[in-house]
Amino acid sequence: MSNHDAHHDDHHGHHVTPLWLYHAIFGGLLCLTVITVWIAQFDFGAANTIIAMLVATVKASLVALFFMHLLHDERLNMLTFGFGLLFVALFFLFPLVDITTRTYIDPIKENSSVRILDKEMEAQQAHAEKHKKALGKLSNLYKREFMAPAEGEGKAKPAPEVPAAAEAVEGQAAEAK
Amino acid sequence: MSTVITHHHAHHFYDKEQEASSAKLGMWLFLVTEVLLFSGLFVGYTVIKTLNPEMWKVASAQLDWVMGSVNTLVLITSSWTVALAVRAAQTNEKGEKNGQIVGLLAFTIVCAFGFLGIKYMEYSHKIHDGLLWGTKYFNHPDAIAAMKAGIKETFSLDVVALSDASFLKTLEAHTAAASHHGHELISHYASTVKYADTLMTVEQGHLFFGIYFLLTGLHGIHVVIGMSVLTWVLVLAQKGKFYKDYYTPVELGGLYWHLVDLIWIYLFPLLYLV
Repeated sequence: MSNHDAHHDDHHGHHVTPLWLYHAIFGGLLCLTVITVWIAQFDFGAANTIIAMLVATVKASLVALFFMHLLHDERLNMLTFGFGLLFVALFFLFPLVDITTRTYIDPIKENSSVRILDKEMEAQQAHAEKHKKALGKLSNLYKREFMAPAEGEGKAKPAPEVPAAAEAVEGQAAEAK
Repeated sequence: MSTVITHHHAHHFYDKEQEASSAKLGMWLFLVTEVLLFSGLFVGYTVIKTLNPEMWKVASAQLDWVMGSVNTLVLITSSWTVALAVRAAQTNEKGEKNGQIVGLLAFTIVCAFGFLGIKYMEYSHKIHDGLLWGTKYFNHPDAIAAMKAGIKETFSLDVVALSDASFLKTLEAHTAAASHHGHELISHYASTVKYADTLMTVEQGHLFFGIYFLLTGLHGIHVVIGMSVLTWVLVLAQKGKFYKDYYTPVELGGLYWHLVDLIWIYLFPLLYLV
């Protein structure tokens, strides 16, 4: 009966899906539902959602391709629906890029931006401390090398009241002698 | 009854084939807008779930996966029978399959009633437990007890001993403290903040139920619309309007019903299982 119908309607330009295929798809959908419920009792961590979505997508494809006749229909219908899904994908893409790259402001979490800022500030302070030490050494060195002969004293003294630029010129002049 | 009413295509079409394929393309365009409508809520789901993973675990555990599974089976069965109804119309020569079309559509509509019945049971249970969106969330003593149990199970924090009033008071105080001075508290009262943070995330459960009611509610509205459309198609089929050369309303009504099924195929695992 179904073979006869299929043949007959192909002649008229309509594809009639054979009955057994409808029953097979229905059986497949039932099996996939049982699988998705059964597999949910195991914890795969972040993969839980991905597995569930894969099973759901297989089910949805079966419904769309066979129950909704997209497979044997005019290609324009599939193209139309495909473009719709493309825009859904875009819609998901941008918020997902946002929320998965954002460090949530939450002082509890080790990787929260508050913690990260703290660490950065500590690092900067350490850096500044190092800088200050290096500068101090440098200024001591300068005072010892260039200011001591001019002053005629041994140890470095606090900077005199002369501006830094003048001091530098004086130093250079001393070196030239 | 075993006769058909011959269909004449509208004057602005060349022939029946063009009329049928134009109608179907229009239907697919409409289905795309439906998918985009739902995708807004699905994106909301994704964002809220990603930002509140602990809350999601506690809140989604309140849903009954058995009811969700039964509803999935009911919808899949109805999708199958409506597909068979379309096929019966496609192969209906002289009205000998009119009864089959009507029977299959009637069975589909019965399934839809079954789906809504189960949904009603679920909704009334949630409303009774105070598991609702916004400020209504957490108002019911049973809901508070459920949340305490959830906190104990998920975070091994024993808040069951607290009275309901002091539990809510603690919750409020800790939430306020954590949001105002969370950063200073962390260094001095790490455990207090952890406790407050736990409660805070659990309290966000109203976000889950907001998404749950919006998604299932919008889907439920589609079920009702689909039932109405299929009932209208059933009445026309009873009159012998559909046969191998004209079955557009059966096919388009079927497409709509399949879309309702498609949405549920994603809704069910997202809300009830993961």
